[in-house]
This record gives sequence, structure tokens and C-alpha cells, in this order.
Amino acid sequence: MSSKSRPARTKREAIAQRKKQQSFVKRYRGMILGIAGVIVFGGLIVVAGLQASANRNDRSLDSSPLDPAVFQSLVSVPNSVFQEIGTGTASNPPQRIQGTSLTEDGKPEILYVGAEFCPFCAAERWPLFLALSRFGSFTGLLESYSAADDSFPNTPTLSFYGSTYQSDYLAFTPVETATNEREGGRYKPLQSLTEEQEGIMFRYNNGGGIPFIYLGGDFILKGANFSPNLLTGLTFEQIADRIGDPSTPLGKAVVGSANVITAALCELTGGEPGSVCQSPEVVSAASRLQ
Amino acid sequence: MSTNRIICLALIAISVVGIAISAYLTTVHYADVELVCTTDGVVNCEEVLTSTYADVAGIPWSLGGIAWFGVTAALAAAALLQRPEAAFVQPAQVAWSLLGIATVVYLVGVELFALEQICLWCTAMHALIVVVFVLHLIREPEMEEA
Repeated sequence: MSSKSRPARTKREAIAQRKKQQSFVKRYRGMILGIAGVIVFGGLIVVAGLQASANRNDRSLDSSPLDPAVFQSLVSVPNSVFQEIGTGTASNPPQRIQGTSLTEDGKPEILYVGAEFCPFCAAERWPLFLALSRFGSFTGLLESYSAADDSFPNTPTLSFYGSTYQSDYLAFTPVETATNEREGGRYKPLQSLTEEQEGIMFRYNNGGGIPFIYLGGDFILKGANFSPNLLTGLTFEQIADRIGDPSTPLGKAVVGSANVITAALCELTGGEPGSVCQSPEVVSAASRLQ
Repeated sequence: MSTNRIICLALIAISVVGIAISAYLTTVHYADVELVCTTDGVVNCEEVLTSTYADVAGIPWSLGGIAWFGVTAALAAAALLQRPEAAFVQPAQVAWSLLGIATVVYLVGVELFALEQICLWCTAMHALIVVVFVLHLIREPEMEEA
């Protein structure tokens, strides 16, 4: 009995010894290759899935004409709302400069430089639209969103791209330099600055930050007047409702900013039209101009 | 010279090449100099390396490449010089190259699905990491005599 079991034990010991002598990789090669396979195929599936999900959530790709009801609400904000809000919570008022006069057809020209992906441009378009709408009227505005992968993602806004502005008092030149759509690692280029506009940017906005607004050569406005955060998650109808409501933070920010911009525009137009420029909230907002 | 020693020397040589490419890409990132690479069509190093995926919290992936190839070279050197080889070396090499493979999968996924652009320099690094993984798998450490 013992003579039979002894060779068997020796064989087992020899196998154990050989196993011990095998390298780590030899012992676990199958498992290692399995893990590598899971990493490669699982990883690619996860990355592709995450990208597909990001694309689905990317509201920046939605762009449609501005709802006429929303447009009507915005251009019909009552004077009483402008008066009640005054300068509201507007920050970063236009800075006075003694720049080169910018005109078009004899009218002071407002140059706006922004981009559709930019969340601060998304915020600033609302008060700029509101202010300019007191001097004239827009057509062809689009509903748009800032980029999904930037700060304050998917901030709802109006795109000036393709829009027209008619006014007896002012000319408006919007330049949206890029879309909110990725092309490779960057946003697709949209509009280019003219040589004159590049010269203005170089002189007054050398860092190239956007939004940048050049008001006829008398004022510049860099950045937004309020945080895009106030617009996060809102529909266009909700934005229009809140802008028309003096008790809302968004109303105080947008209408307050619009009043300050309007005060600057009134300096450019020489106080025309009187119905806008002589209104108490605009006269009062002029004191905020630096 | 044993196969193990040849593989260890190859691992060190590959690591040196990997560190050189990573150092070049890191220099381009910080010095803001022009990259030597085509910018036409799908192959566009500049688009990839200046994209929002090119760094993590401001640290470029190429700096991680320097660290990864540095550790790879150190482990290969340990395998080459130690007699007998320390027990931790081969498991560490395998774990390290699996980490490398996972990173390559993520970065290739970003190139293919998010950026839809390929960076040739990055592809060269990815190929080196895959070769390192294969070499780690086929390397047979020199065992202690039984």
C-alpha cells in the first residue's frame, strides 16, 4: 500500500514543483488574455456608447426658427416692466471709449462678435436683442443652444446668424464666428471678420474673448452682463415669461442689462427715439455707463 | 544571449522611443510650436492634440506617456539585472501593460468616435504599448534552478 502511494505522491510533488517553476504569465495567460479582450471590446463599446449618448443630449444641434409667440412676448415686454426693473441685477456695463466711429448708411453701427457654442454669448444675446428691439426690429432669428460640452452646457439662446435688423436709428452687424457643432476637435467655423472688424478686435479686444460688442466707437462691452446659469434648463416659452416678469431673477438680469445697453445706444443716436431714450429707466441707467 | 534578456533589452529600447515621442508631444503642447504631422483628411494630429480630449485637468496625455514608458523601462531593467528575478516583476509588468492597453482603448475610442480624426504620433505610441503588452506576455523569466 505504502509502496504504491509513494510514487503517486512523488508525481504530485513533481507536478506542483513544475507549476511553481512556471512563470506568472504561463500560469495565468488565459486569464490575462481574457482581461485584455474584455478591456478592448468592452472599452470600445463603452466609449462608443458614451459618445452616442453625448450626441443625443447635445441640444446644440437643434436649431429652428424662433417661435413667433416667443418673439411676440419678447418684443411686447411692457414699458412698466422696463421701468420697474431699472438696472436690475445687470453687471459689467459698457465701457466708454473714444474709438473710431463705426457707421453704416450714416447710422451708428453696433458690431457684435460671438459664436454659437459660447455660453456667455448665449446669455448676452437676450438683453442685446431686447435693447435693439426698442430701436428697430429683427427677422429671421433662430432658436439655438450653446455647446453641450462647454461650461453652462446647452444654454438656450437666439442665434443672430442669418437674421436681419431694420432700424431708422442704428445698424447692427452680428458676426457668429463658429457654430455649436464639433468638427474634429473644434467648432465648425461660421462667419469671418472683415479686415476692419479684425482691426477693431485687435485694438479693443486683443485677447479675442467673446462676446465682444463695439457700439459705434463710443462704447465696448466685453463678456456677458449676467450668468448663463439663469437660463439653464429653461424652455424658450419659460424664458419669455420670466423676462416679462419683474419679480424673476432672469427678468431682473435680462431687462436690467437691456436698459443699460439701451442707455449706451441712446448716446449713439443722440437721444432718438425720445420715447425710448427719455424714459425714466433709460435716463437712470445712463449713470451706470463707465 | 537568452530570449528573456533580448526581450528585456527590446522593452527598454521601445521605452526609450516611447519617452522620446511623448517628450516631443509634451514640448509641442507647452511650447505651442508647430507639430510635424499632416493636417489633411482623417489624419490630423493638430486637431487631435488641441482638442478638448487632449489633456486631463490641463495635463497632456503625453506626460502620462513619459511616466508609463519610464516605469516600463524600469521594470524591464529590474528583470534584466536581478538574479533570480523578483517575484513581483512579471505580475507588475502584466498589470502595467493592461493599464496601458485600457488607456489606448479609451484614446483610440475618442479618436474614432468623438473626434473622427487620427493622430499619427499617438498611433505610433499606441502601437508601442501593444508591442510592450505582447512582449510581456511572451517573456519567460529565468527561473531559479530547482
